[in-house]
Amino acid sequence: MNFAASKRKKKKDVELICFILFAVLIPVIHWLVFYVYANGSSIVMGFTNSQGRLSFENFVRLYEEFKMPTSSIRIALKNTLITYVIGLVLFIPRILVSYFLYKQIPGASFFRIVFFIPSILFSVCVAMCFTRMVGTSGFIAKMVGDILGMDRVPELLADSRFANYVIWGQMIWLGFPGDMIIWGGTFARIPNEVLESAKIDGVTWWSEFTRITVPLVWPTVALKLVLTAATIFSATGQVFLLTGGGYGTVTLSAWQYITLLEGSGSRYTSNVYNYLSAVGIVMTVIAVSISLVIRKYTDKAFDDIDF
Amino acid sequence: MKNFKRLIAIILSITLFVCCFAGCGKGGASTSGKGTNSKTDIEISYWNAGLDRFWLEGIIDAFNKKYPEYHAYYSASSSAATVNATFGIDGDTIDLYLSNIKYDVSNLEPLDDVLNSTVEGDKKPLIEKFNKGYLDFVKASDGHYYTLTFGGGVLGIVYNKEHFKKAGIKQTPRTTNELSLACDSLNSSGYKPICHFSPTGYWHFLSEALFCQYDGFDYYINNFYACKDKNGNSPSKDVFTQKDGRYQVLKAYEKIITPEYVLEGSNSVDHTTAQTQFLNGKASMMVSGSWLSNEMVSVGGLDKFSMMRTPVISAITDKLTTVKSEGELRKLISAIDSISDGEKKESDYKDGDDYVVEGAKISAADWKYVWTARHTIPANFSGNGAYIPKYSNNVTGAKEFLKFLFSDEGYKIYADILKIPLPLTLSTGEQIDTSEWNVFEKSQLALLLEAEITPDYEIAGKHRIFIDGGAMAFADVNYISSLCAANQGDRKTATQLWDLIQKKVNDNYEKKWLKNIK
Amino acid sequence: MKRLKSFDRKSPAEIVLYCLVSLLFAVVAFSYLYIVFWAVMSGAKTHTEIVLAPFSLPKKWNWSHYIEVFSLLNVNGHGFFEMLFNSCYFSIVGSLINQFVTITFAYCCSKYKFPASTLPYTIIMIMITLPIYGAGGATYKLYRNLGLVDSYAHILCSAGGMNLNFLYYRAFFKNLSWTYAEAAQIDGAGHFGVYFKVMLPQARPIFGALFLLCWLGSWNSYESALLYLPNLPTLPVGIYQFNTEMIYRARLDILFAACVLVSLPALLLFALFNKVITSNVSLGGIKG
Repeated sequence: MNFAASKRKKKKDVELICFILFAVLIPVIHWLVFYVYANGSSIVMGFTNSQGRLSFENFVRLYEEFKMPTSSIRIALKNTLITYVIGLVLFIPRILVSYFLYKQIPGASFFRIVFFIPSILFSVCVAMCFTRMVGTSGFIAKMVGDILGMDRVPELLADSRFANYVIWGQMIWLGFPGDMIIWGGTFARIPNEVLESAKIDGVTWWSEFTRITVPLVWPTVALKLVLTAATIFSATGQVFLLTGGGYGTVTLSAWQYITLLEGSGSRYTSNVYNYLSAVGIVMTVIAVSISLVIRKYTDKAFDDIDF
Repeated sequence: MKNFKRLIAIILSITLFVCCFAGCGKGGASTSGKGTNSKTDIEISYWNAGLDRFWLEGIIDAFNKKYPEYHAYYSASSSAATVNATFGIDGDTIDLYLSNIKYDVSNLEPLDDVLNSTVEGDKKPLIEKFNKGYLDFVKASDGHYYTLTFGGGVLGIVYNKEHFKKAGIKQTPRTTNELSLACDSLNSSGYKPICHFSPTGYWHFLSEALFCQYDGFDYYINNFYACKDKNGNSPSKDVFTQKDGRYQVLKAYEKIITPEYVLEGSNSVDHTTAQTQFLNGKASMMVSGSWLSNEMVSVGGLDKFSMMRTPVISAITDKLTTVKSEGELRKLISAIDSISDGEKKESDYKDGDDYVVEGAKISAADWKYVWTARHTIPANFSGNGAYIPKYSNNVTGAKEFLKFLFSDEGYKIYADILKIPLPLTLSTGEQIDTSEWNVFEKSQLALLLEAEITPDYEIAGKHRIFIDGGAMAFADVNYISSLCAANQGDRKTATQLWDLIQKKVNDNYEKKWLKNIK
Repeated sequence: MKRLKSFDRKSPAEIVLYCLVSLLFAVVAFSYLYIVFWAVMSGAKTHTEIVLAPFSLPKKWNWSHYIEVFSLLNVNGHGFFEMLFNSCYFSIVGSLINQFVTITFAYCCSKYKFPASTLPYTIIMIMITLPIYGAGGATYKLYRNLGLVDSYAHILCSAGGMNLNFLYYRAFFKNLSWTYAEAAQIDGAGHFGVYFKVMLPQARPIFGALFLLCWLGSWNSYESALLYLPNLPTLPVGIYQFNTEMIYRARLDILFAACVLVSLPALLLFALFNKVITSNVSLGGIKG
């Protein structure tokens, strides 16, 4: 290789290295600082007591609290698991919403736009409106009271008999359309020729759905299921905005957030979040175990997926 | 379709554009003229909670005119946490806080010199103008004063006079038992006797007053809130475990705050919603305060309402020797009221050292005990306190501002705009002009003027176990919503609530409260 | 009656099914539209009307409330436009940074072979399937120590590339032929030139869709903004704090008028770009 060519090659190599560094440096540093260091630091905090010394105090405290049937942690865990199951059950209707929109039911274009409204509006605003609408001055609370034969109009968000159901109901109502972008794209990629030829062969709707559509989209379904399994302890409704965690509605997520908020700003001290970290460690161990089990059975889905 | 969407987008854009410019120039900035010179500037941070900003702007304008060497200005927030967030941290430039900071006196400038001063134009020093009962409460354990109130006012049971009239209640309840009977009469007449708001309404203020009535001011301040037991040990857990006035308050409330008497929704609404419902006749009584008129100016209608004297806790007879029945107690209170109302004099009831009321002999000690109880009115003055950080760059200026606020000139401006009394009088001995005040506003002023003790939720002399430790009189148990919960599963009796409070004391006293003390 | 196009070549059972589903969807859609109408209506009522009769029509439609909002909407000294700026800054600029860093990272890892170039994929797969909880406190502590709390520099937190979107971009670039790059290289383009002038423009549709998804999530987010930026309020945080102020002033009418007005920018954007947002961009996967 002559000198000029060697110089050109060296310049290209330098440019290549610069480009790779340009592309890689920021995300890697970001990941190292905000993921690796943050999570590592959280693990250390979990094993640090309020005096700043290494100890298992936080885990003992968690254990003591968990032993009490009426402790916030137990109530939060119960609500989280129920919310998670509701989320899983909602999986099917959410896919079906996108499926029927894909099938161009009457009014599909209109629904496609309107169903985005919950994502467009601020959840804070929606929660404020919703709180007023289910208040005792409105017809919803009165209707519930009449149906249940109550002599007083129930305080739906301030009564432990109803508050959770209201939060779950709101979650189902607003989350009904689901992730239309993901599922819409999935269904859109089903080759039309396949469906056309099935139609020509006289295949019924149900057969088309069960034997063609579902198998084709199964990889995405499996992927989403695995990803959902990983978020078992994140499941929550709009607890913070609707009840602030009161009336037996607290979830693990809401509890964590409220704890963070209460310890932030001028109330912050270096050890205020140690207990939170300890709870997180326990949740992580459990969630990772569940995730690994599910992953074992749906591993093939990751190989099958074609984006 | 595409053009239709474009049209919608254009209409939305124009609407937003027009609204912006239509609203421009109407003010609304919370900071009025920020200055730059820390020696002449007085930076005020104000917790805007129901009193609005107009009174402060009026005072600032008048102060800046009278003292041109200073330039006072303010910033405001409805969130006390936001206002208090800067207190004590590095770089804090605020010279005067008008908020509800907890009593961490280590960072506060003493205001003794402000109290001992006589402002230009006044005829006596501020300390002689302030209500003695208020000053007793606001004095810190080291004997100094670190805060003076800018508002908050007094609290009490506000009632709908029309409802009372229609229900045939001729006399406002003198005792808590009589209050329960009034609730019954109102309920029978088709009215909802009580409303409050989530989570406890303002009942906790009344609780302090009833607690103070039962055990006496001395125990309340020098024992309970000093966390000192009868043997002089401090801190002492016995103070929390003793069945004192707090237990009697729960027993009294058990007969009043019931699901039948409380307006539906009270445990879930915010305070202005509850006040709106109350002022629109949805309930007959509500524990509220001096700010009611100002806060609900958009709703109005305060002429139908008045604030009653604080009922005396019926269990006070435990502490009396010559008054043992509810009937005798009510008669005694009527006699005391007749003196406060100017209908009779104390000498009309005197019999040597003792007293005679409707033929019954009352000891001087009992008379005084009940007199004090009847003239105990809960207040929220310290919840709206003026504090000067010790590290302020302009302590002198901030103090001058406070002196002006409490001067006759300042107080007249304040009262004229807010129509809420401060716990002070004019130095000339005359009363502030209430000719423009409505019935409700006048009633709360009358109660403040006759008050001897004004128990305040934020008590200056509190032991640190209450300030940093997190200890509370009722251990942060939400007894109000538990007493009136519609759901049987959530409802608790007074005894169950007391047990729950004791459990919380046992769980937290050593592990949390004592450990958190700085 | 003219037969609907959507009923073409459908059996009677399918038609009935479609009609029932449409009816159900219509009920849900109506409820979403009603909440918008309810907020608009409440903004035009008086405070007392909202409290006592939340579902009744106003006795008088007070449109002036919508103008009053601009003078009253003030949170910690920040008015509507400052909050709008903060929202736009953290959501639009933040999302742009996030997506740009991610797409560049994904492109580099998919098209270039260098040590550990396949590692990010593995790490991300582990990250998304094996969650870590409870790091909120440590994260807050870290942000505080780095001066990222209550600071415009908080946007640096958006500059991450190790997320789910990496997978989408990676898959896209893996399927994109390198021939385009070779043609550009023949014309003298360097690596930067190939990326910015040839490859990145081809990723516009997927970039647009993912950016919009990212922006939507970030625009609506109040939790992290309330925690990390309480004194630089975005619109949702501003409304959350404004709620307290309007409760104290007994002016729920102004609060709901403010809710409507702060929702307008997003509604506007949606009205203009709904085709891009709702179009079936290939984000879902099917069996290959």
